[in-house]
This record gives sequence, structure tokens and C-alpha cells, in this order.
Amino acid sequence: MKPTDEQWNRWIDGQLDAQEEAELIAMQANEETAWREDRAFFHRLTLDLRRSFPKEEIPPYPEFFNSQIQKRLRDMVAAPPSIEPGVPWFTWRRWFLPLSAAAAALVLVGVWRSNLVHDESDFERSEIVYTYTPDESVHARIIYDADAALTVVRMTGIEPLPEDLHLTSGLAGVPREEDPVRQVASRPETSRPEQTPVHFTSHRRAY
Amino acid sequence: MVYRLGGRVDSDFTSMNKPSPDASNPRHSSTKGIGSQDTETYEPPDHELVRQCQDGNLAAFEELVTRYRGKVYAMILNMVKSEADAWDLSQEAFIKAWKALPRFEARSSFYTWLYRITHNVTYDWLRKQRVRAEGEFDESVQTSVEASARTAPRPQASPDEKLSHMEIRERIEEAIQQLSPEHRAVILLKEVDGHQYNEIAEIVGCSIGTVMSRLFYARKKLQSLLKDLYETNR
Repeated sequence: MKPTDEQWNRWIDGQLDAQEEAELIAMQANEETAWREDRAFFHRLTLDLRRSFPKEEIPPYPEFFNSQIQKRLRDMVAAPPSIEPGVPWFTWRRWFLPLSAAAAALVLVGVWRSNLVHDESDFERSEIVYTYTPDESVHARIIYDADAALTVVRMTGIEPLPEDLHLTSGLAGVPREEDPVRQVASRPETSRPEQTPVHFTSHRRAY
Repeated sequence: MVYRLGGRVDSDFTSMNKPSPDASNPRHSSTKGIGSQDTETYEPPDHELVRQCQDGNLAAFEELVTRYRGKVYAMILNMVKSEADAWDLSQEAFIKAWKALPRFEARSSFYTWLYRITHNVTYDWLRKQRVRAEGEFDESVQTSVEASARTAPRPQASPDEKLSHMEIRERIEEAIQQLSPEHRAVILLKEVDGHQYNEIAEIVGCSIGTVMSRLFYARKKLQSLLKDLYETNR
């Protein structure tokens, strides 16, 4: 008689009482050794699974994690109930996810505004933020906080940005013409639209 | 947010992010420093916070988020293997939980109920990814996290041990990724999260018999994929 899936699982997990275990062994007398090897195998696998997969892990930027939930909930509470929530703002980033593979961990960011209606008394504008990460292991996401009038580019998969990196002055020793970030960030005000500050943050898992 | 009975507020989020084994019970902690009086903080049980949430208290919900974000994020990360997606999906799970809270009747613990929502959010996402992958090649679905980024070896491990641990981890992650989302969820809920069979059934939304069947299949599959690993590392 073949044991059921439940009996086998409970045997592996050591959840059979002595009588049940004796009955099961008697049922599979010829395969007792194999069964005991199975149990030893899964005990070892369980330990390795727990080493490989965390049971608990604080999400990156935990305070920001909380504040974004609170912000969305406040928006929801404030919104008329008949209006269905649209596409979450953070799904925008999926449009801008890394486009191809290359070696360097580089992100180019461009921000501009276009006047869609030329009547200045009643104009609308759009601000478009593009990100490009040639290295597919690097992810960049755009986070815009209207209350703070702040746009954050969050990158995962790279070392923290150097403390001395400034968007307008760049890294010391790197010529402007070779620094795409500086080229974008330091365009003249006349050709550059009004924009919110762009801040870079980076994150690498720490253990 | 910490509910104070007196003394200082513990502002270290890490200490708040590690729920006790039974997070549904009220928790008390006291600190006693040199020259200071005993201080005691009261962290209300889940059901009390849930009741406040049902009255529209966002601060109470933030406390629940803080309490469970580590578990929710880890559960999703283990399934989807992408930090960015896990972050977004964790947010979505908590938003869905807030929306569903008025209908929560405490038949199960809040923790199990939240896990079920988290599982549904993750499973829906994986299903969409799978559908999309059938039409096009989407390498992001099956790409595993760089082994060195998953877990640092123990500082005292020798180079050989480090290599061995990394190899084992890589093999296990590859094997887990070869399971279907249904089997992956059951094996991770059992082996990593340590849930009981009935809890898994509740979270996944199926019978215990189905849990047993999926667990049996997942284990046998892992055994066939990893048998040589333990023979060579014996």
C-alpha cells in the first residue's frame, strides 16, 4: 500500500507520532532506508533554503516605503469614491526600465517641458523624465513627490554615488564634453525648461 | 509610531520591524538606563490596530505596515527575484489590504490574512509575466539575483566554504525558479516561512489536500534537481 502525499509530507516534516510512524515504516518495510535518506535530504535542503531565502527583509528606504503608502492612502481618502484609481504613479517606471545591456552602470536623465498650448493664460505642460541604464543589472526609477516638488531618481544595483558628485559641476577631472550628466544638467536656462530638482539616490543591498 | 506609556520613544525602525513570534499579542518592552527611570512602551496587538484602521485611522495602519513590511517584502522578493518589483508589489499589497480592511472579520489572524493578499498580488503579477513571456522572450522573469548580492557568506567562512555556499545557493535558487508559481509559493511558505499546512491552505486559498499534493510534487522535483548537489557536497 502506497502512503499518501500527506503521510509522506508529515514524515518528512517529522510530524507523525510514534504510532503513525511505526505504521508507515511497516507499510514500506523494504524502503525504510530510502525513506530515511529522503528525510535527511530534506532536512538539509530546508536549512539551505532558509539560508538562501530570507524570511524577513526590510525593503529599501523603509521610511520612504511607509510614506508612499500613507500618501497614496491619503490621496485615496481625499478622492471622490466614484472615481476609480488610475494606473499607479510608480508604474511609470516600467516605461523607462533599462533598455539594453552594456557594461557601464550609467544613467542618463533628461527633463524638459513642452508647452502644449501656446496661450500662456491657459497653458498646460508636461514634464517627461527619461532614464537609460545600459547595464541591465542596474535599475533606475523615477519618483516624483508633488508636495516636495521633488523628483528622485532611485538606482539599484550600483555602489553609492560619490559624495563629491554634483550634477552641475560633475566629477573632478572629467571634461564636461565627456560627462553626459553634466551636459543635461547644465544646459542654459534659456533652453532648459523650468524643472523640479532632480536628486539621485542609489542603493545596494547590504548584508 | 509607538504608543507610549511613558519615557522615550524608540525611533529605531529596525527594532520595530521585527515582529515577535506572536505579533498578534500586545507587546511590552522596557528600557532601563543608568540614572533613568523604567520606561515602558506599549505596542498594541494587531486586532486593536485593525479596529482602528477600520475606523479610518491611517496612523494605525502605518504601524501595521511597519510591523509587517519586512515579511511581506521578503515573501514577494523570494517569489519574484527583483528588488524593484518586490518593492512595488509590497506597496500594492498594503494598499489592497487597506481597501479590504473594512471586510476583514478576524476569522484568521491579520498576519495570515495579509499573507493571503500578498500571495494574490504576487501570483497575479507572476501570472501576467508568464502570459507575457509566452508571447515574447522576457529574461527578467527568470533572471536570478546575482549570488553575491543575495547573502554574504559568514565572515569566518573559508574561501572554499564561501564558494561552496554560493554554489549551493545558486543551485537552489535555480531549482526553485524552475517550479511553477503555485509550487514555489507552497514550498517557500512551508520551508522558509515555517507555516503549518492549514495556514498555507488559507494563504493560498486551496484545500489542505491540494497543499499536500503541491508540496509533495515540489519536494520531489527539488529532490530530482538537487540530489547531486548533496552527493557532491557531502
